[in-house]
Amino acid sequence: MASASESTAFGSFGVSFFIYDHSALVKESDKIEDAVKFYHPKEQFHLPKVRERCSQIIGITDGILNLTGSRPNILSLKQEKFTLVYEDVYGLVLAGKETEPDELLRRRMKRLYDLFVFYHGSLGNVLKQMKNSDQAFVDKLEFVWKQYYREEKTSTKTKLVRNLFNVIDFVELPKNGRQYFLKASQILQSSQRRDGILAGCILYDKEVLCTQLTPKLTAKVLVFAKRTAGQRPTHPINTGLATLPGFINLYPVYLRRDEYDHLAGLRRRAGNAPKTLSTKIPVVSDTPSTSPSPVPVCSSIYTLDRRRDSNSGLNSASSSAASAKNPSPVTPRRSRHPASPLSTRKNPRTSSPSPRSQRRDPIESTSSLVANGNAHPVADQVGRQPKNEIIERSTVRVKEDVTINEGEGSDLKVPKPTSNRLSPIGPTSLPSSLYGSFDAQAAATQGETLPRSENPSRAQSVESSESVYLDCKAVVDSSASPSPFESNRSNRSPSGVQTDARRRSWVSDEVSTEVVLVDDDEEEETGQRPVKRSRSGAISLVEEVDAAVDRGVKTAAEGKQPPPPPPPPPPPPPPPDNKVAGFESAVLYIQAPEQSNMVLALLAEETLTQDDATLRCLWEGSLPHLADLQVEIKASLTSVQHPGTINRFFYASYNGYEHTLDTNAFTASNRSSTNFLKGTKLMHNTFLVDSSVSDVTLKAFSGNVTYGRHSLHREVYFQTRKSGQASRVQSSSVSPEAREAKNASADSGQSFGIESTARSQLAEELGYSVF
Amino acid sequence: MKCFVALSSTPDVIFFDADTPFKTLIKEKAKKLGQDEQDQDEQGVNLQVVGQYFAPLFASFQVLLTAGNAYNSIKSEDGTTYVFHLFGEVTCIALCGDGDEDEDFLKRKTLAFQSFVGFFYGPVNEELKPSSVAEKNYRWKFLSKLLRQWSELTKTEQAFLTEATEQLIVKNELNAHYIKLLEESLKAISRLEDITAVHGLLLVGTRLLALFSSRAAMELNPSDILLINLVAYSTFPPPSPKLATPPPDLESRGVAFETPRPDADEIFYSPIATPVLSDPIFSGPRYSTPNVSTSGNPGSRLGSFTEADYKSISEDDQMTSADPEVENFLKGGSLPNFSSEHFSDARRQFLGRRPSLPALKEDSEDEENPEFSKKDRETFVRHKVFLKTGHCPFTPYVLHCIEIAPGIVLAVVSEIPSAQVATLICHALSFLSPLLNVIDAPMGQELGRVHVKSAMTALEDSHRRIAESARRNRKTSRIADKVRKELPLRWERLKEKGLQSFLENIVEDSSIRPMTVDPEMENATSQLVNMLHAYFKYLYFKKTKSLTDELCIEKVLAVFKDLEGDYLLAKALKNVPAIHYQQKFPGLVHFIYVDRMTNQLTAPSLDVTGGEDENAWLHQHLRKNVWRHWTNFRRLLSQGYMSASVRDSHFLYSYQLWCEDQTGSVLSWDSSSSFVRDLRPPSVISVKFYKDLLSTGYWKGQPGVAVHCYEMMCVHVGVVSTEHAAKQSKKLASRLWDESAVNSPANLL
Repeated sequence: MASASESTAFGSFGVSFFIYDHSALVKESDKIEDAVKFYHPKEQFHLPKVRERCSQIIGITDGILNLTGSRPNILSLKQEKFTLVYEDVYGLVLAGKETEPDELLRRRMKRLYDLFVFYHGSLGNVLKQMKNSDQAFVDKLEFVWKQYYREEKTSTKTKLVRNLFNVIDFVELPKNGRQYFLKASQILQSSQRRDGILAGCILYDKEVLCTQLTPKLTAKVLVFAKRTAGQRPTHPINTGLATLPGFINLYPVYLRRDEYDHLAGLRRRAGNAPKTLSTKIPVVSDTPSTSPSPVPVCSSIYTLDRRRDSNSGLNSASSSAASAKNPSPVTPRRSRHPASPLSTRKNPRTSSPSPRSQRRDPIESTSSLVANGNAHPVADQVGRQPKNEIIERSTVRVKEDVTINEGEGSDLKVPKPTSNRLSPIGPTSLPSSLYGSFDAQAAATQGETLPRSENPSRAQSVESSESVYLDCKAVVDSSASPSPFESNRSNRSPSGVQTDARRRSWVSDEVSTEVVLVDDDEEEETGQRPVKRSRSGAISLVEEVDAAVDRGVKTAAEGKQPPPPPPPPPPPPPPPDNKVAGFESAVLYIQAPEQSNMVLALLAEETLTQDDATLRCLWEGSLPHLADLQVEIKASLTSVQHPGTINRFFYASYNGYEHTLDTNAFTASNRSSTNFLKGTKLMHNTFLVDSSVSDVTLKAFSGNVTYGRHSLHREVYFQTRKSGQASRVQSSSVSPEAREAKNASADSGQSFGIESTARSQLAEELGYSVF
Repeated sequence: MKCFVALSSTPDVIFFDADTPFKTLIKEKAKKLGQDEQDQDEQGVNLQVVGQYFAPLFASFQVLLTAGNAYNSIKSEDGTTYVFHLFGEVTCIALCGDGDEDEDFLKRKTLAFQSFVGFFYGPVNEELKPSSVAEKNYRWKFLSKLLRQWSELTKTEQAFLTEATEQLIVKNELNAHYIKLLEESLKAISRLEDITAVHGLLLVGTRLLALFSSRAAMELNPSDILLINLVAYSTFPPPSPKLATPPPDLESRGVAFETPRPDADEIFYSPIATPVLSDPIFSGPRYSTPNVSTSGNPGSRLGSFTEADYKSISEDDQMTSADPEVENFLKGGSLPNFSSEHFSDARRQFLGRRPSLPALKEDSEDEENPEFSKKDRETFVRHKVFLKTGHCPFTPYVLHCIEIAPGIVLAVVSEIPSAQVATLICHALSFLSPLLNVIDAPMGQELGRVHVKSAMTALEDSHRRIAESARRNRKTSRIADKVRKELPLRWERLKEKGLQSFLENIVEDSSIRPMTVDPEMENATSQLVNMLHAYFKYLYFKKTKSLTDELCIEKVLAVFKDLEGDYLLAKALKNVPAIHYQQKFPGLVHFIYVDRMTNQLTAPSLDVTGGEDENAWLHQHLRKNVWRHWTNFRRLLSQGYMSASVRDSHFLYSYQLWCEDQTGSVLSWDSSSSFVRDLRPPSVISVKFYKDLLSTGYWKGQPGVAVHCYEMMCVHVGVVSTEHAAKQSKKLASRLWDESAVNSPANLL
């Protein structure tokens, strides 16, 4: 009975896959080649037996439909098993090995099809987009499905257990790395407040760092987000916006109604609704904006920056010390810690807390929490849903107390770019407002700029420009005038690019901030405009500040020689008719600088494609933070080592809620690991089919004992690497002795094959609550 | 919606059984097609429409079969499941659309159907649809009833769930008494009827009370015991539990609450003392018990032809030789179907001694009135059956079922003359029939294992001996004469077409799969197979001597006049009381213990109250889950897992298959050998799963030593840990092993 059949038990997925058009097979003379629109592997389709099998599958589908009015969804043959899904006149057929459990194969097919639907709507939609050209349709399917299918198949072959569970790869952060998750979450939340943004996720090195999406959506987004633009199966939307950098792409996606409603709900909770947020503040630029419309300041990012500063307590003890010095709940505090590049320095001109802010419930406003520096659990700020709700209940208004030095503004002037130089961070077509930044950086590297301390006037000008270009100018300033902590902060990104993340921290030293907390409800009740609190505690109307900011823009612009106006952007193409019945059209925003490991992927409403201002604000605001995050994560990430004892076992711990898996079994390299994978597959299938089953123990003929346990959202599997040996009771006598021996072996409980000792030991070592 | 259909290669519907919803569907389809209602058969269904209905499935199945990758099953979006199964040239399609029967069950159903066909018709599958409409209706109705009964019993009885024989446990004295009665009854039958009764089984419901086999008899195969049990139960169903009021003085009448240990002198007649597996590997000293021949006429031995055998054939051939179909065959036509006249005679045989109460009527009455009513029932039926013996898969016998008391049946198996020729014919067919189908991988491996030259020599010898037997019958039978003349010619023609080289190709190049024979060779093979089938039918599907004397039946009934039927029926309701084990093993709720050596089941009875007490829901829940998990464990077993435990809501279910040597030491599987997954569900009736499992030689033990296989499933309460359950299961197994009579030291005396 020995056979190598087990070795193929897990290479079972993806024997073949094809799509056929039922309407192309009406008459007897119709050819199967015309009906099958896509077959993978393509090179096998010319084989007569393959074509015959395809035609039989199509035929039996029709036959059974005629018999019972229902189409088959599982066809089990002697050597293969097929699962089918149908869309209009099309049928999609995925083949696996006969040993594949039905439920798992069906789920894989569904996952594959859902992925296609997410990016293309439907097969009919693709045909419509191809203007009903059959050849173009076939070519498109070939192009698209080949990649989707390969994605699934590759992952199956290389990471068998992971694919079995439909796992999403998350960045495995160290224990002290929670702040990176927090920061990523904050970036997402601030992005979510933009117009039209529904939710998103951030990837680091093709793994998810933080996500606001459901696991299913995250998995779908991940397929595109972790690929380069050229590798993605669809072409990005041509927005017609000249200011959009090349590393940002927008793709049409299709969300089911329930998915869309869920995301819209998330967005409402995240506080995207109030449009009186400081996004209304026009940008203050020392160079003329190329944008035809006023570009909003990334004030939410600024708020984020404040939060980051406040959260720097996670990185250094100085913040907590600072907060101890200044327990005021709203006082913008600046901590300074020379040893920590991430620490922020306290502004000596920080205004006193406003009484109004003091009255506020500390948990009512994220900003207030941040400002007072109270140690609030990180997870509470981002990781839990109630905090999102807290955030949406308050409107954070952040204004810079701008001190414009018109005359010295020119100090910042740097040689104008002669060409569209690539950003070190990755953008290929940065707006002209950043030209100076990168040139300044280049100058800094050439030693043309003086240290900040040696050029006070320049510092002043930097201060003024920081107030309006908080994020972007940080690049300039950090390069032009190195901070005293530069040596400590000269981390480079993996791509060798010096990022601005740490520089920003000292830039913010020079920024005097005002945190104005205004409740929307309160505003509505009082009918008053929100007020601005000056550093000195003076209160002025926001309008005044806006006016001052406007003046600053004007004066700054006047003090400079404006660059030649860029050619007007081409008119955006008319939005394509992407409507698919049952789906909501949306947009997938992917920001993936070429030389960066960080990817920001956001799901947005269709209107985002035409919203230049929001787009610009999105990428301008998030780019430096993401770069900052990348450096920090890379520096802190070390390979997580499992305890040595774990190597004695195969194990897999699956979190069904987060779709995460911790395992040390990836390939079926030997019989023991094959047994583990096989047992895991069987047990997982059992848990899927029968939710009342809580734990299963299997012992194979080979002696391997595999154990699986299923709780609400968690599944744990393990197996000893060494084959278990069933105890053999030696007895030479016939009956009485044999009986005694059997009783003795019964006492030991081992000959029954359930290796309790190993299981308990493993449970102990892994810390799993098995029993 | 359920349906079971068997199609020939034509395709022609050779068996059809369906429930009312499916029949309605077919009728509606027939209306749409404009089919005449007059074409409907007895079931009210137009078989042409049925054939059209399944034609697309059959056609697709055949096309893929040619490629060696035929359908196993199809599941539809609405939950309808289709299961395909091919045996010989018969394609079975089982359909279930109401979710009552899942894929595994339907697979077992098709395998069970194959067993029924083999049991009643041997290798001649065409007998499923004789040309006589009346005979066809009778046979279909009988098989449908059997199939439905099997389905019902598999869903309700643990014996049929596990496909093992459940012994009715009574006091040792009673057991010895019943065995003695069996011996007497067999003697009486043999004395009065001049037939050789070799096996006697006393059945109470689905439980075996006693089994007696004559010394010279071939061993009864476990699957044959199950099928005999099924036939007896189906023909004489016991009264419902509601009607059978248990006597109040059960204890006083000897209800044993402990498994009895028979005395030394009773061991000899114990039902489990009969060797049930013919494989030498099963015949260890511990289990080998000599049989007693109570018959003075042991009958002819296999492998030796006697003149008396041929004489007997000649006598019966006088009647059948005038059959027009036989005439047609003699003129060179295809395989003949026996005429209605011929089968009307056979039907009378089937119906037994009371022609005034036709069996068809009896069946319909049974369906309408499941409750027992003796006056409307037959007390005797007879079937020609083909049992599996060590030498031949279809050894002809006659099965007589006599109802001793309501729910208690005596089954007597008697030999028929000239059974030796069946061995020769079956041997030839076992080589030739596969050539008519697509030779897939398993078949190729099977053929590839044979030594071609020796196989050809054996085939040559078989054909020579078959022709010789036909020569002896030529004067009395035109069929025999034709066989005598043409069989050697057709065999020579097949050899000329390259049979030997074809077999050698299979052996040498096992990678060529699937493959088919060339048309010329296929034609020659087909002609030869047809001739062998015809001769088999001539020999064994005809009137033979059997139990016909009413006096004989009365004598038999007189032997069992003192049988305490009420007591036995009451005892059968609660054969093994669970409470006894539950007290000894705290936490234990239920168990199923099967000794695959003797294929005996030991399990407490489940839900005897019929769900009327306050704990009915618990019984229902337990029963449902025991069935579900046993099926799951079987599936795991076929995938290479010998042990499993599942904690499911309130209970912990554990299953274990293990093997022991003669000393009772647990044997381990050779870890260097992997287990090959068998797509067929482990089965005793139709699949040699356990036999194959034990004959692999991968169990670590002394070579050549008999290996004994056991299965046990335990149900514990959910709070019990797996370790505790494992220990307790082992202790329980030891206890049951001790209590088993066959393992007693006294057995060795």
